[in-house]
Parts: sequence; C-alpha cells; structure tokens
Amino acid sequence: MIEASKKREKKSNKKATQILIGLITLFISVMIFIYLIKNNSNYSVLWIVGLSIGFVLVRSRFCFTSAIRDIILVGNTSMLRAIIISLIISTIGMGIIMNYTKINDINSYNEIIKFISPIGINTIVGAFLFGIGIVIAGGCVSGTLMRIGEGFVLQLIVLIGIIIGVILSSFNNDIFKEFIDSTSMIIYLPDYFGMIFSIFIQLIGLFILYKFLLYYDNKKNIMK
Amino acid sequence: MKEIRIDCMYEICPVPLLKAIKELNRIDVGDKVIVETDHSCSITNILEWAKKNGHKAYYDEMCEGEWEISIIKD
Repeated sequence: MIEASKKREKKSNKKATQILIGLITLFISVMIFIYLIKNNSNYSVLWIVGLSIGFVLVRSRFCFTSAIRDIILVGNTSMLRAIIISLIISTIGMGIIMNYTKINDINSYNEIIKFISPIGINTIVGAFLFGIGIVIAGGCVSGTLMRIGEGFVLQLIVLIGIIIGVILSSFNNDIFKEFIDSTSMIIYLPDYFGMIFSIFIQLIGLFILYKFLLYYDNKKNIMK
Repeated sequence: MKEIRIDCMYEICPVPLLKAIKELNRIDVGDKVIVETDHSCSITNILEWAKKNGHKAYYDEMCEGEWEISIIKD
C-alpha cells in the first residue's frame, strides 16, 4: 500500500519539463535557417528536411534495426513492412524526379547515375558486418542520431565508432578499389526497360515482398 | 494475480522484449509481468508482440523518460 502511494508521488514530483530547452533549440534552428537562406544556399532546404525527418522518426518510434532484427528474434515483420511502404512512396517520387531531370537537365541526370555501384562479394560481406554491428550497437546511423537527441549516452559512443569507421574507410580507397570493389556489370533498369516500366517492375517487386511479409507474420502468429 | 517486475533500465532494444518473453513463459495465465524500461523503442516492440500473441498490454509513464509496461498473460 505504501509502495503504491510512493510510486504515485514519484509521478507528480519528477514532472521536469523541457519547455525552456525546447524553445531555445527552436530559436537556434530558426536562426540557422535564416542564416542559410541569407547565404543563398541549398542547405536551407536540407536543414528543414533533416529536421522534419528527425522529428517524424522520433515521434513515430521508427527503428531500422528493429525491422531486420525482430523478424529473426520474434517473427514480427511490421517494421520491415513499414519500410517497404516508405520505399514504395519514394520509388514513385524519385521516379518522377529522375524523369523530370532526364528530360530537362541531362547533365545532372548523368551525375546521379554515377552513384550506382555494381553488386559483388563486397556487398555481402559489408552487409553481414553491418548487420552484426547494428544489433550490438542498438541502432544504425539514423537511429543513433535519433537516440542521441532523446538523451541516451550509449549512442554517443556509437557515434564515435561510426565516425572512426567512416574515416578509416575513406583513407584506404586505393586498396579497396583493387581488391574489394566489384568489377561486375552495372545494371540500371531504366536503361533496359525505360523509366516508367522500371518503376512499375520495382513497385510490383516491393508489393510482392510486402504480401510475403504479411503472410510470414500471420503464420508466425498462428504457430504461437 | 501474481506480479513480477523486470528491471530493464538502461538496456537497449531487444533486451526488454526478450526478458519479458522469458518471464511470460514461466508464469501462469492471468499473472502480470511489469517491465521497467527507459527505452522508447521497446514500448512499440512489446505492445505489438503482446497484441499479436493475444495478451493484454498497456504502459504507464512513471516519470519523464521512464516507462512501465504491464503485460497480462491470457
């Protein structure tokens, strides 16, 4: 009985609000935004987009690691299905942007295409290492940044690790290009099938994946 | 109606859910497991898992940033 009243006391005492910190942060964000607009920089749009994405990720409790880890641990595919929905939306959006760029600004289009790399053993090894890393660290890059904002101290250490890893990988570029980078063919679907049909193929593929994950989720449910 | 408390403060994502599953397999129908955690990711995790497996679950915010998730085995 006494314990119960003690707990209710804990609830009313520790209502520390962070409204002051929130207002200061909002003020600084707006200042940075105005500074970026004044210097005619594209960064102002990136600033707003970044802040919005961060806000939505935190409030919706989105977790990329939870997507992949929970399938194997508990058979829950809801996060991965949410990511597939977001991939469907961004495929459509990116397709529209790429089509517009291809028609109106062929130089930018060629610049974007240079970012497509071939698949090889390096992809598989890298993905495997990354998977081990994110489960142990408790978050991938976006999740780490999100949780630093929420106040977890562990993620600060994870951030240091991320920075070290990225710096290391950017130094040894010659060695990587010789041994590890793949030399297989680069396949960019719109070169073979045209933009609209490629988007269609990708959407069908994602939709099939979504249905499969839904089926897998229900099967795990019935078995439990 | 037995109540078991699990202390999962300062533990990262999979751990609260795994500890909760282990405890739930040990207790009988109708007992309650309370998970104390400060990780917001675990809330959606545990609530969804409980709903999928037919257990009742709800959560309380004890103070800023600390939650107590209660699961009643069904």
